[in-house]
Amino acid sequence: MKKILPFVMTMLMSMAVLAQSTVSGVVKDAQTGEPIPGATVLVKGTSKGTTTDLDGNYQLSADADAVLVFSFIGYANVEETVGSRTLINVGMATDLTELSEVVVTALGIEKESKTLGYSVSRVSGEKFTKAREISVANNLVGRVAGVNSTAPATGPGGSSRVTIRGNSSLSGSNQPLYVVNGIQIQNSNLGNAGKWDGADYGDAITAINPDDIEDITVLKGGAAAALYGQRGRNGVILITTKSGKYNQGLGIDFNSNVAIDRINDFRDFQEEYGQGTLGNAPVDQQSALNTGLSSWGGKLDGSQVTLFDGQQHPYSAVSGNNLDKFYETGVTFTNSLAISGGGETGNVRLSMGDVRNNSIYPNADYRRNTFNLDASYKLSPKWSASANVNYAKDKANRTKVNDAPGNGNFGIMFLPPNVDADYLGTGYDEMKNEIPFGPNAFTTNPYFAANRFITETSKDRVMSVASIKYAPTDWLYIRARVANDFYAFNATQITPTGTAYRPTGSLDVQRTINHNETNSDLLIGINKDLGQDFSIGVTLGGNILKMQQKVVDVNANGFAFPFLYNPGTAATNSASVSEPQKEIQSLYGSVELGFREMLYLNVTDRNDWSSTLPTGNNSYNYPSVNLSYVFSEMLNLPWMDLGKIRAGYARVGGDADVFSTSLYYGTLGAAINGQALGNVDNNVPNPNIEPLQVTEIEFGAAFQLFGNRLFTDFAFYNKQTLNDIVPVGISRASGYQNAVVNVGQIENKGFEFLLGGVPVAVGDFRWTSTFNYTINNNKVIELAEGQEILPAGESRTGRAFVQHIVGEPFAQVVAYDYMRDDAGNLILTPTGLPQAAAEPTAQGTGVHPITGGWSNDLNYKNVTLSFLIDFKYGAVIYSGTNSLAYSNGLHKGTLEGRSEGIQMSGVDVDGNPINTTVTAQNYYGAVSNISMEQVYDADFIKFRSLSLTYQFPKVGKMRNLSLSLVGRNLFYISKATPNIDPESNYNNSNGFQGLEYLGLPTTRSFGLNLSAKF
Amino acid sequence: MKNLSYIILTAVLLVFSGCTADFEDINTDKNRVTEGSYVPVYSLSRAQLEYSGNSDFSYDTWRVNIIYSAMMTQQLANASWYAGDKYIQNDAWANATFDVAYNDQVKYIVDLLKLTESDPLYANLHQIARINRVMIFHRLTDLYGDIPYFEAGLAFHEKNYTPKYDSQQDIYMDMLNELDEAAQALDPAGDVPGSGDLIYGNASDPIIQWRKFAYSMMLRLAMRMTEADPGAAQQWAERAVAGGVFESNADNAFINHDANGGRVTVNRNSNILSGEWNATNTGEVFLSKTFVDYLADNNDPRLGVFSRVLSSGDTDPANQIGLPNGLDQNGGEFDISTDPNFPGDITNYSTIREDVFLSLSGPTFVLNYAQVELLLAEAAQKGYSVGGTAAEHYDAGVTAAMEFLAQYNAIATIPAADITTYLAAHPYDAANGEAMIGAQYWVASFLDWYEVWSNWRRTGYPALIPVDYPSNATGGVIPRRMLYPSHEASNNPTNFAEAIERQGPNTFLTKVWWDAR
Repeated sequence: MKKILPFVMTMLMSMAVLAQSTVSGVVKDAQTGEPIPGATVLVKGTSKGTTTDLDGNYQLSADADAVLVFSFIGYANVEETVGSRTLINVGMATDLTELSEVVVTALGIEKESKTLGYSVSRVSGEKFTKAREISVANNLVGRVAGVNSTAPATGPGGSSRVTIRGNSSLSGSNQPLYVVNGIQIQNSNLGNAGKWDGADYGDAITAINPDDIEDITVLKGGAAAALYGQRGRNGVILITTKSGKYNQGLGIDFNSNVAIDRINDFRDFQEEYGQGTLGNAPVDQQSALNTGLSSWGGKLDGSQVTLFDGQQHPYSAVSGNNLDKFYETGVTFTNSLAISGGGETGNVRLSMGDVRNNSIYPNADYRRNTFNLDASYKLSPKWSASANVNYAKDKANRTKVNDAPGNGNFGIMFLPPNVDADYLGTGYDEMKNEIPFGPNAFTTNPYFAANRFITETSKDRVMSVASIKYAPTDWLYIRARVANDFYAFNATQITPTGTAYRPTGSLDVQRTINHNETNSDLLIGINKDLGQDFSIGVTLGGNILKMQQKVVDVNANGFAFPFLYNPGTAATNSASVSEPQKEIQSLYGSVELGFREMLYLNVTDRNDWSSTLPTGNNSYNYPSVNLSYVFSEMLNLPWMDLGKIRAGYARVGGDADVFSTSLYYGTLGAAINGQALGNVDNNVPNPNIEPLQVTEIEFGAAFQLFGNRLFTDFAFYNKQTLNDIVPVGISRASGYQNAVVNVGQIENKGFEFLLGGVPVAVGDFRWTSTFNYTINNNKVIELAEGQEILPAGESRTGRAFVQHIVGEPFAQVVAYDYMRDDAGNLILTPTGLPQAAAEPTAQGTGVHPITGGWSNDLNYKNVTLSFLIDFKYGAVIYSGTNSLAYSNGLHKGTLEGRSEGIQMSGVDVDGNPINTTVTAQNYYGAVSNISMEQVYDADFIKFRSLSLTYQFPKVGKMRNLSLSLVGRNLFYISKATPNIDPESNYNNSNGFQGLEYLGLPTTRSFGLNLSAKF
Repeated sequence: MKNLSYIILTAVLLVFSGCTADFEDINTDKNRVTEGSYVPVYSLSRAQLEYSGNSDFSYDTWRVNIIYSAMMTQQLANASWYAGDKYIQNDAWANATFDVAYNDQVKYIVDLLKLTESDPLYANLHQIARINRVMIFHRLTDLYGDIPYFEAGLAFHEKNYTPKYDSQQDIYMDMLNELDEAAQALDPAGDVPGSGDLIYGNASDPIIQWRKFAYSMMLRLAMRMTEADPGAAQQWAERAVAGGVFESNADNAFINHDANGGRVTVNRNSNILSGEWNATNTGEVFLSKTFVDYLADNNDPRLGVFSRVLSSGDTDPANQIGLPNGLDQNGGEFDISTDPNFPGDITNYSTIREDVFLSLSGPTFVLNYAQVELLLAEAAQKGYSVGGTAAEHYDAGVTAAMEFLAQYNAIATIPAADITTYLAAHPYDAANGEAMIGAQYWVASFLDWYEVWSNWRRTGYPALIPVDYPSNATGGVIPRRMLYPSHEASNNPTNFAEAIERQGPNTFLTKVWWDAR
């Protein structure tokens, strides 16, 4: 009884304060059922409230007539009246538009999205973790209106190409700035195959572990990015990594993902005729070697024929599985473990990630380890500090791509139909010498290439940031921050001893790069309500960027000892050192004025001083202004949750390459009888270079209707580039070949559209769907005076080019048509073969103007099915693979006329008619040079990703356990490129958009993803 | 806290001082030098070496010197793809010297002139640069005719990206003037360029050598004008002699190569004909029947020094067979087997002796004493006041041409008695003088096929019988000039069009100004 009394007393006392009752419950994600930690629960109209703990639990006392407002970033607010309830469980729905939510904007400043006069898109981290890619950038494809992400066909750990609102510079970078937790990341590519053979050494953004990403915010236009100055010229991708939460207790997150990659074999080659020439099969080993990759032999008849190995093999179609035999099943294991915790004054999150990939290309692999430490601490009520360190270590052995030497993708692709990949064995003999299989030593035996060539890269990257914040009052804060991005990169590319074309081997690349960039900035923020109607926000800041790099290159050949590639033991070696560096100083500020939460005006300005520009021309200014009008606040329509229109204007600039304003003298690598030989670049320096300029205007509108069941957002923009810094070809008689001049003018006009909603929500079933569509019309308006064409890149075949042409969109694929007379007759060679026109002509742009995607989540109780279909339209691609398939007699089109020849009619150069029959081998050899025949529409619709997730019911301490079946890059719903993947550019830079040639075949992946949270 | 105060301090400094003072230093490449720290003679070394042929795998040497000039002048022959053998047009090859000479020779020599312009420490180097500039443009204009000259190489110094083309006559007049001024300005007591001068750097008195070179080059230029402007030719030839030309093979101008630096420093001809490409040993390049027959018919003691049978290595003069120009190996009417002297297999024809001429470290001759004497012989024959008789100069020229082969390799020493015998058997005959001189000049310039071709175009000697192979670009006539590159049409359109308007179409058959016979 003694124990009952206090209890009764308590009860009575509770009754006495009748209105106040304790309310508790769990806040969960309505879709996944996952608890939401850190959600805010506020008693409406008061500042009284709490936040949910790690399991989503909350508890607070409230009056019966109180209304509780549950809010959390990324979710629509939920309001519940307490009434007589003491248990209120809430399911919060994802707010897909996040239009009324807080978003991270430039410089990490958080703002309510409705106040923004420009377009911002957010993608939550979980979109990157199930059907994943090794590089986050490649996972953006189809997700965000205005963003065009393309992955070159170079294998795991390769680079990416992301452009936002088109390409705005002819020769400068067109990729956005990546900002990871406030650290500006230089995402330059570290190596590519150009016209000749080479390998993709990857880029910086591969250093990010997708499991660490909380969300990604895309600042698309100039108005959004103006505060980043010239580096934000191409838009900004802000990546925020996960952190611990205050008061959360201990949390452990574990994620495990396994994916297998299978090649896409798009070959559809003829299988009727075999190896040989002039219709004859090889008769002995020598004639087989002479016709190694020529499929102009006899009709396959099953007879026994001697091939390059001196063995008899059946003359039958056996090459069908060659790609499956050569390429392996790729496997990627990704494991991540994160531990987080938080108390009253501090929180910490530590994560580790491990990626192990075995590529489909034999002996190629990629390994990445990441460590991320994030910590925040409240030093006092007014002082707080935070730090984040991300360490990524990666190591890869990569495939060469493009040209034939050392590139195994080349030889295996073009083996004649009667040659089985197995005949090639390991590709080398017992002395480790390459076994030749054809007449050209530079076409490396694919197994020798894969087994003996070495293309290794390794990189250690540390991105760190520390900041301290002082908030003396609730309307003022000062934040100081130092961010550093460091990497040490190594690449080794070896042509091994025993290579047919270089028997003593060579060390082609031994490169070390040490890169260091520090950004120090200071920010002062003021936010104040001025009476009932007006609010003001002011931000002022300054930044100093210091970049230093050291690049050491060594190469050597003629090694004294076989298989030892030490430059010290080489007959000749050479070394070079370069140390680019720059500094940019900046001052910036912004003022935001609000009126009745309805009208917002935001004005920003930034001034940069860059060391790369000549004194006197090195200061440039970027103003921007934007306006947001939330008219739904005035209309007050019950079915309209939000309606706003917006407009923005910005001008941003860019600087020049380092060291491009003075003439420098060096020497050639070799000396003659001890005498140094002077050397000067063939680019004339320009001490009068000015910064380039991009001005952009955008208009847009956003609606959120019927209780968030339907939402839409669209934007129009017009982006003009002036004074683009362009290297133009000048007369060689001037002593030089290129001059850097301010001449380029480019236009990007576009429209971005987003439509989404919840078409079906019945009982436990919910279907969420969003569709985005972008069209970007690019046009090169002006080059140098009198200049119509700026060459940018060339295919290995020498038959197709990428050029920027006045009046046409960026990156025109230029190819040869047939030579015809004025009446349209073919002008034939004296022997009756078609020939290419004298000048190549533009066939279309290599960059898709139309991109988009349709993403869906279907959820029923514990099961969620997500899929993404994306599409790109309006670009062309020149396929060097198809060009060779014609000349080698593998293309299906070469079957026509094989036995009877091709009847030709046309005229000779003098206009006299020619009617004759030519052999198919000669005819298709000629056709392979009429490169227009190998330019295809690169349009496609692709079933990009699929995941099926089962959410296990909550057991014990486990907050969440889910298992997903995932698939990535599954199949094309439509494509128009024979024998190749339309997404198979082999180089991510400006000059190679729309050129295909013997990259690594693309893959489709399937896998399992397990996610557990304790 | 330390960081914070640092940042605040920096920001404050930034605001109040705009501390961009060290920007120029930051944007300075510390791994290369600017004008103030440069060693100007390195530019002379580069220009001279590139004049001997391009450091990028003998780019111009292979294409214009070997593929075109050597084949067209019938010293070499090829039965496959060397277009010059059959006057077939390959634009990229015919452009090659223009393509690389401005970037790799003119740029350096023009920059060197600017660097040394008013520096007393480099007074002689400046004059040597002027002489070398003439040497470079002389070859360029001889190959292409009207070319950018006065405004060339000035993209950096004068922002001239589109230099105008000058008439060859104007170029010649200026080059002669330059040689004259530079020769007079050379000061034997002044600065010496040192071993960075690849031609005379190691001579005991390089300044005197350069003066002789300038006047010898003046003589060559003067004699080039005998048909186009005989008056000027005589005037300048006489001035050259008065100034003092080469007096012996010890004056010869050549560059010694270095096998150690790979393609950059090896002998250009050697790396293609032997060395890396090895064209004389792979059945690609042979001595022409015209050349072998001329030497054989005259019992020239040089035949066994020049020639070896590819298959056997035999250097016996009696066994040498030159490959006729204009043949192929396609089994048709032009097949090598149609040669009445066909030795059964292509490898039984004769080719260049690599032990004599094709050492990777061997010399490239720029100007030799034999050429000087032969030009003097011609001048005397024409009645110019150059001292001595045509016969004396002829004898001296032939003697020098035979003796200097030892400068390639001592094994090429021609015994003095053989020279005496040869001269006795072929005494100078004034009635046939110019033909004799022309033929001797043709032999004396072996390997410098640019010069062989130019002198042949001017004099018509020796009388070569052109070949007429299907699909040749000239209608069976030996080409008269090389072709401008098409990138000039796009990068320098106005001046390019004006040059073609003045000189004639950009073809093999348009004659340059001095080609006026």
